[in-house]
Amino acid sequence: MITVANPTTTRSLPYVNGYGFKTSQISFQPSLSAVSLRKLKSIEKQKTAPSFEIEFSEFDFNFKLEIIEIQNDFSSNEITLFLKFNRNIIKAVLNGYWKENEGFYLQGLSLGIERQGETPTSGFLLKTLWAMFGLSSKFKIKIPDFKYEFTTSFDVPLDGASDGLSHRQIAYRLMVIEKTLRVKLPFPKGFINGEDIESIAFCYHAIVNREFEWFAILRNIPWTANRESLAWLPNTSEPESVTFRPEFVSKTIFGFDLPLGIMTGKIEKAVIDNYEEVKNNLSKLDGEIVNVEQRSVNGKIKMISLDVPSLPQNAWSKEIQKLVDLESKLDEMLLDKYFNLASSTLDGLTQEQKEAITERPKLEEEAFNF
Amino acid sequence: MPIIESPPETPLVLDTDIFSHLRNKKEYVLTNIKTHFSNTKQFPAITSITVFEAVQGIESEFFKNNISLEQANLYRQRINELIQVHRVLSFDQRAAEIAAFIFPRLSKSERSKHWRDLYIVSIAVANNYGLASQNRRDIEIIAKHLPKGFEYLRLSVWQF
Repeated sequence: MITVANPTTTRSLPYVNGYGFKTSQISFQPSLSAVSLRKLKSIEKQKTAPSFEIEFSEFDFNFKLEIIEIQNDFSSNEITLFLKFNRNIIKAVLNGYWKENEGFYLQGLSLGIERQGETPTSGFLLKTLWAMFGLSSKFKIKIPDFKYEFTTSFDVPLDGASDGLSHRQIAYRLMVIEKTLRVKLPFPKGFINGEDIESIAFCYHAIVNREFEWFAILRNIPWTANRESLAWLPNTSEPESVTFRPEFVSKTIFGFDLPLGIMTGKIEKAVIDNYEEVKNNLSKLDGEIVNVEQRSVNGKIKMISLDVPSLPQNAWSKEIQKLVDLESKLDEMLLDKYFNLASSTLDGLTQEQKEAITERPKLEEEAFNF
Repeated sequence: MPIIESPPETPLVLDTDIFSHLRNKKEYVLTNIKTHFSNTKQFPAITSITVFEAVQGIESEFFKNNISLEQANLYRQRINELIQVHRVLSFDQRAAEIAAFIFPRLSKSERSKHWRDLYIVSIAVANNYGLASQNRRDIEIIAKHLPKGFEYLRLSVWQF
């Protein structure tokens, strides 16, 4: 049952993850329309919840969200709708004016996030919807019970849209990890620290890509001085390819220890910086621990999943899969805007002016006579 | 080895030449930024030195009367909009200390040729960012003097 209520306080749109939305303009189809107070009240008695529909023609995708609460007040020029979207609650503020005996005439729309669901799937859906809002040149809103239908767009700063896509990527990777390892993980609302982001990326690549480049600068590896370790020691101190013994890998994400599976790593050019010392100590075969300082010359290691679970086939519903598949289109739309902004800094200049304006400042050698 | 390769998901900061080529829509930069964005979902960062160089280019041309006041205002506004999209890494205390360590170790001609890149490299290392640059050799001249505790510069070489 939907609630229609008069708000006791005016709440401003929350500033969520960088941006809320306000329409720059609304074009009505077919004409400006009004919803009466009586109609709003009658909606309360409906058995089925009214819907808030969004059509993205550029993405060939429509959303139908349930309106779970309506707040309206004659003294303000707003009607506020609360929309359920998975575990998220979106606050849609219809801006306009009341006309006596007719009702509420719509002039603008703002959207914000009233409550963000803290599961990866709810985060992914919300971030995808937000990205679609931000990147679409226009989209259509329909509220059939109000007889509202209009086309509009939002202006979103590019860095805000990029942040949204970044969170979307994290949420999707968590969905993959959840599904594959059969665990439940949270999707925190605020700051996610770098170590968690790194672990999420590692697990995702281990599951999906199976072989991937990872960073490896210097590893201090404790080796036991025995025959097996000595056999693993390269013959010379020159860089050479090293493949590590397969071992069980687990990662910690948001404090949860996740057993990933058996992996190995391959370094194309590995060197042992303390080679002579290691060779001498391992040769003693006395069972003591020898600290091996091993380094990848180019700073990379290829990680290989040997026995790590894979993402099940048809892991997602058709709708979610369709949203997952939007990734490259969302990237492309944002990058087009970014590249156009970058080139606008030189547009309209002659080639000579472009060269002059981007010429780097020079200081002669005399400037450094100190 | 003072320079290591930048793994795909490392956030990158652009050197000024690459930033200028981005403004000139050079295809090799667009391609590399697409790849970087696909991996990180972030635009590359820039340094405050690149901000100085980019804004200075407009001011210099205006000061020399090569562009009109209207043009200067228009391009000031546009470069400001572009800068705001990026994370700008500052020449802060840590970067200053790294640059100060390297500077006396460069020859006079190296200082003259690479002083701008010295600051950019120092900022990248201080902020643990990878650096996107065209020229490995030039960057190596600076990076080989990195102080203890900051021995590695993650470099991503972007070329035509």
